[in-house]
Amino acid sequence: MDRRSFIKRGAATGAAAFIGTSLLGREVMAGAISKDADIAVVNGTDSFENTKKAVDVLGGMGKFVPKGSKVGLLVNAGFDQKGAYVDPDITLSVMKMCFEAGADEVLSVQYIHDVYWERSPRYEEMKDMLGKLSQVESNDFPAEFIEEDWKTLPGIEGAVSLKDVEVVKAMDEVDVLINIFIAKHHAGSMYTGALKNTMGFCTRKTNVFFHLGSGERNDPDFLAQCIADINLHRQPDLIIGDATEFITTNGPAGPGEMSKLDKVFAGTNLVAMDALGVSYNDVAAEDVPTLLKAETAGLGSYDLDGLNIVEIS
Amino acid sequence: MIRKIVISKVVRNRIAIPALVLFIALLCTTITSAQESLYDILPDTSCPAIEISGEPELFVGDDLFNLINGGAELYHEFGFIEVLAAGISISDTTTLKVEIYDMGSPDAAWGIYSLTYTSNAKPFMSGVAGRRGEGFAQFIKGKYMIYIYFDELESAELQYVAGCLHKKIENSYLAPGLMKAVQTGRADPERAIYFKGNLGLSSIYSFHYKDVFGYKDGAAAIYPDLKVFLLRYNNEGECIDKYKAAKEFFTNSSKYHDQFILRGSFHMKDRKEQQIDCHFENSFLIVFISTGEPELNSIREVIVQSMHVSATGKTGNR
Repeated sequence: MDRRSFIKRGAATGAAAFIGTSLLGREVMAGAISKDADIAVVNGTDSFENTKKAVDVLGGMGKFVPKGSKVGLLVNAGFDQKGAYVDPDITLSVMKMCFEAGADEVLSVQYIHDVYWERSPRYEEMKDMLGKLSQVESNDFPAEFIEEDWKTLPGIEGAVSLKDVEVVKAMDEVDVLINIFIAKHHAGSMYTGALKNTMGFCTRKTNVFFHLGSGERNDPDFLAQCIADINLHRQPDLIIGDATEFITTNGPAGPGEMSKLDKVFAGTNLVAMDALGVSYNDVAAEDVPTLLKAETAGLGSYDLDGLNIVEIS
Repeated sequence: MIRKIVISKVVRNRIAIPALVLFIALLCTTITSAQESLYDILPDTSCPAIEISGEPELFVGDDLFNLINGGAELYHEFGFIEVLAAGISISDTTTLKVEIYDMGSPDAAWGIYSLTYTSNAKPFMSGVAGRRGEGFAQFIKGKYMIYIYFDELESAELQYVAGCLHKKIENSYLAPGLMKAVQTGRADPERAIYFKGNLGLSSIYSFHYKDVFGYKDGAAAIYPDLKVFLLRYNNEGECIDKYKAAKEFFTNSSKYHDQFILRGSFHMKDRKEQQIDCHFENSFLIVFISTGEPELNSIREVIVQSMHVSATGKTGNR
């Protein structure tokens, strides 16, 4: 049983989101939902609304979250500098959609501190909803193994480098898993996205192994292999990418040079989503070791040419 | 013959071993007297308004991964030794957190300070290489970098705390000579950075996730239309080898285009259509990344001249 924190706060909920009708980009949509889209990209400054638009293009949250289900969120929220953490409005939008789709429980598998939510202009109106969010408190930096919340995976099928992995139990206990990441720079792996966000399932000890386990410091190939390996254990049902405003240098913590693209994107394949996120950083997918290892591991293809990427405003 | 050699070794050892022991003892004494313990840097009774709250926590070597979430390896690249984290209170009313990093050398302290630059942080104390940002202040002295974290703090209180820490560290050092040299070609860069290893370089510009240049250390000057990198090698032979390897790598890389090679330099464009020019100069490489058409030859000549002057001892690093 996970230890949970129930954030009790008052106040009202936000207004309902809607599907936009302004159309631009790779595929013109005549106001209809494209259920065949592999990735949806929404351009604009309202990241809360645009997150809903992106999920709606994929068929709506109800397609991913059955009524009465337990939903796990993995959010890259643990940094202080703007451009290094996911815009909280995107996370709030996902939470709201999950509850509206009938989720029985929404659980953040990593502890998210209040300061993260307070950065959102919607914080006050979302307090009631935040009060219903449960969290794995022990998965807070630097996360240490405790029997109640964590387990050791002796091996992962298909894994090359990773063994005796300490992961949060909730990773396997939730019915639906949603990976919410920011497409930003990382000095060691060139790019941090959905694949690397999965390190958030692990204890600090395991994450240090990702960095040092090869016996060589700063071994980007080993780090990338470990990231590919952990993603073989469980892949998310839905992935939301934040390319609204992000650091393009001095990652992962920043501060660094900022890029402001005002894009929220959604999809279901880790490698494809990261390939698109990488392109927003003006980096080629084949220059990112994580993508190379992930494709080799069979997690997907970083070639976006064959995908139906629907881009709207 | 064998016996003579053995005797000779014994005789030599009778002299050499005690001398070596004495030398090591003297060295240790010198190091001990010149190097403060991190605990000694914490404010003491000479700063009566300050009290240490709780037990200070020491993170040595790879323990740093338990203090820094993302970026710990960057500190290690510079030769990070240890960090002491302590809570302090001022007049029992204000609580702060202090982190004292032993970076191993003054150059390393300058390097990590230059890489952790924050654009909205401003100088907070005259005569100190330091800055204050939102909720934090940091400064360097000697081989140490010190962070002070707070919720709210009056400027006078911050200066008092920083002053108490600052005075406990004996020596100040000027910025690394390489960091100065890279700025000589054009005045007033937005930033000047000193780095070691590929993580530092990649924090400024990602040439490749692997260390293609293989330099000893480097410096960068950042301008709106230009980045200037100065990469230093142990000697000219090593520099030639690394230059050739980098030239081979980049001229065959799909990440770059419009590559061409001249005598002593290679040139290419990246995906953002930035022009990249890499010049070989003795035991240094000078790399320019530019947009527009800044006048690079004169910048390169001045930098080369400043390095020549530095190398011939006509000016010192410090």
